[in-house]
Amino acid sequence: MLKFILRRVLQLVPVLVLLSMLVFLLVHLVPGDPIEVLMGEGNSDPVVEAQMRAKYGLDRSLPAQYITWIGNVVSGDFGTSISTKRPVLEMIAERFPATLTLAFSSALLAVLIAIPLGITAALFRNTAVDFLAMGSALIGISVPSFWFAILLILVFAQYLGLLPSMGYAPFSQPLDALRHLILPTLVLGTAMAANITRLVRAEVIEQLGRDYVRTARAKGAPENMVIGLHVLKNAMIPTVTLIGIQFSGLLEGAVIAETIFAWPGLGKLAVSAVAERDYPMIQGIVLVMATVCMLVNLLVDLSYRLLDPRVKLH
Amino acid sequence: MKLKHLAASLALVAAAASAQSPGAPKNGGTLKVGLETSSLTNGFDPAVIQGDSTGWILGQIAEGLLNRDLKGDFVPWLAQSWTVSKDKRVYTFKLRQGVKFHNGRVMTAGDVKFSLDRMLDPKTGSRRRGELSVIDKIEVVDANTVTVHLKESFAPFLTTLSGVWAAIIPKETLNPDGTITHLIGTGPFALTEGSKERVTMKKFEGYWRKGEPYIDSLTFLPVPDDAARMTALRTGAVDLITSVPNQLLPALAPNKSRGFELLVAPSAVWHTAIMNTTKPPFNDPRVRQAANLAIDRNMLVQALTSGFGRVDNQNWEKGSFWRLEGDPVKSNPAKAKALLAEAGFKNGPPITIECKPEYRRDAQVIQSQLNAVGFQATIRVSDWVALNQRMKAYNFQFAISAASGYNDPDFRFSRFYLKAGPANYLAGGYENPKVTELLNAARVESDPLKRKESYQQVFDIIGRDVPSLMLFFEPRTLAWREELKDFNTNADGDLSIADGGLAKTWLNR
Repeated sequence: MLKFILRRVLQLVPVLVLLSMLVFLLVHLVPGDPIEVLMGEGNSDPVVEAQMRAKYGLDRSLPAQYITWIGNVVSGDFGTSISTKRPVLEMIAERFPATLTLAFSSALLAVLIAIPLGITAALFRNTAVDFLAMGSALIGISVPSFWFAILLILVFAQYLGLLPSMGYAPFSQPLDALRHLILPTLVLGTAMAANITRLVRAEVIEQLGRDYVRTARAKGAPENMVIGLHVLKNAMIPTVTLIGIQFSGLLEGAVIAETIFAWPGLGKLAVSAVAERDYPMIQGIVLVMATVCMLVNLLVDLSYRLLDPRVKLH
Repeated sequence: MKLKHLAASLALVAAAASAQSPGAPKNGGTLKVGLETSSLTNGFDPAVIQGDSTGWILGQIAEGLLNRDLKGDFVPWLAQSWTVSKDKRVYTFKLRQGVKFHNGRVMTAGDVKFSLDRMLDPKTGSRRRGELSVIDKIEVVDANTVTVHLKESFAPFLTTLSGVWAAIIPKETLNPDGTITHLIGTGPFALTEGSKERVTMKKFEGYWRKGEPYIDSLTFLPVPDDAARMTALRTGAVDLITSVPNQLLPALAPNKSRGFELLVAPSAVWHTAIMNTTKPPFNDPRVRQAANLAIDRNMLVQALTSGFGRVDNQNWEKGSFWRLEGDPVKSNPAKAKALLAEAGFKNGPPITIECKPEYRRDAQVIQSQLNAVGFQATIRVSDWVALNQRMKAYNFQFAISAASGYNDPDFRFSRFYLKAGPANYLAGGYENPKVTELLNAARVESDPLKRKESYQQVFDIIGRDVPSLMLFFEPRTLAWREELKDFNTNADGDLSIADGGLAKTWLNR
């Protein structure tokens, strides 16, 4: 097991190196540069612009710039944001708690809704219960999150006055933190639940038709056991994969929800970094997020082993 | 047009309402401001900031030698008074005594020299360096006196010193590498914490204007989404918002029971269309004039601001000293068609209207108006950095943008219409020797009446050459909760003006 984890972590290295080159190349291909942004509209000043480019090393060749940057990254220095002049890692770390909180709460809500709903729909296939469950899942997938967010704000913040319409509070103020968390969690969690419900239902239906289910039932195993132990465990492998993918997506930031609820997450940081052509910031976010995604994938792979002992980790 | 009068009278109503405050100001409370932006600041260095929201925020922390009042006149601020030599080349500033920075140190003449020298250093990256490069040297006479020597007389010099970008800051606010991440100034509020997502400040107890500010702490939040911003105001998640969506104004403005104060005032922000004068087809003045006559500005105001904006041909309001003569152009499609034909475009030239996403609707209305006279216009929307880069390289035909400010006519004209001006590309690379001569002469002329004569001539020539078109002025809209008292601002929506802004507001809670 330990060997497997070690090998997987080592495998990250070449992927990250390739990714760093790709990101570096891509951000430099986008028209405009950070100095253009610093100068703003209507302030063309060749003297200042040349000085600034030299100051940030942007006047050197791309390979030279890349080598300096990646050398610093290896020694743990992700550079300084050109826009805010603050260390890139510090700015990412500042937003990570908010993003992680929202990702966890949304994933939790999604799982709590999706797994019981998916199983129920599968067990009562083609009945009113199934149609209701699948209908709501379809609505969950189709409703645009910005619209749902505004609807929730209107109902819970404006008309009922129960919850704050926007903002974030750290967990040092638990009650306040929870109140701020509810609406964005509802938006992201229900959307995620919709996808998972459909998958759980399909998987459970598939497993129910398998031989081992017939055998278990023939042996007289109680239905609770058949579903709870055998079917669910097997149906969980693809489900955990999907949860992992969606969770990684949430960790990279949920720009729309973050924008509407003024949630200080990573998604908005990434978008503003691109808008400002803040090269070190963009590169830093991509590298950190890629690492986090790969670690989540590793956890998903490890969970396969728990769900199915036949899975060999090598 | 009716709506326009309505808007003007409502602005007065709002101003009057906030003027009647119930008794003496109360101290305390937290004021939350929701700004229409997705990113609050692009840093905390006043010399290199850009954008309204950053200026509003930093204006609470740091101040300049001069400030402006509601009428736009200069008000002594960190400088208590100043004198100008006969030849208009030496400015002597007497500093206000006992002004403290947030770190407790008293401001001296050395800090003024340090702040101005820092702006002149190209390494700082100040966007105002060009305007200040007229400075020859800055001398500290004594602890409270500074003289600034100019290379030549420069009429708008005081204007360059009156904004937050020319803030007087202490050396101690700099990081070892010369950047600023935690700004210290002399302003009414001291920075506590600042990011793109949230900026918090607390009252500066040692502020030089005794008694101010009344509010204990200040929080700025970005709320770019229109619906979320309005809800945040209604639910009290924020107390003050900048910018109410134009399409809500017809319903909100006349509604007395809307539950919050609303200011709808003429703003200093105008939308502009820029034509590339260096390349066909807009290198032909007749084609530019055709576009000028094709555009119905009143229709733009109706379509894009619900009638709350206004049409004008200059940024100086009627009655102000610099107001120049001449009326806004009236649309004349027939003449526009004739001019296009005269320029040799029977079927109209195919052109691309370029803009950034926020001016997409402008582009759509203008496209239909240009096509009605025979242009074959298509629209291309790109992010501003990419578009800006293309425009600087004169790799565009027709672009829509916005501009604001420029109280002094030299800024308004020289920046754009001199070939060497920093914003010449936003006038399509326009160059006219007569305009150059007039502007260079007016810049060193000290008699305001003679200056004005030159600017009138420039204005008339540009009205014929039309390298760029003034389309319309946006309305300035702000809304705040009723418990926020004595709030006032100017046409720029400035939150740190001398006789208004956040230092003078208080919360009646």
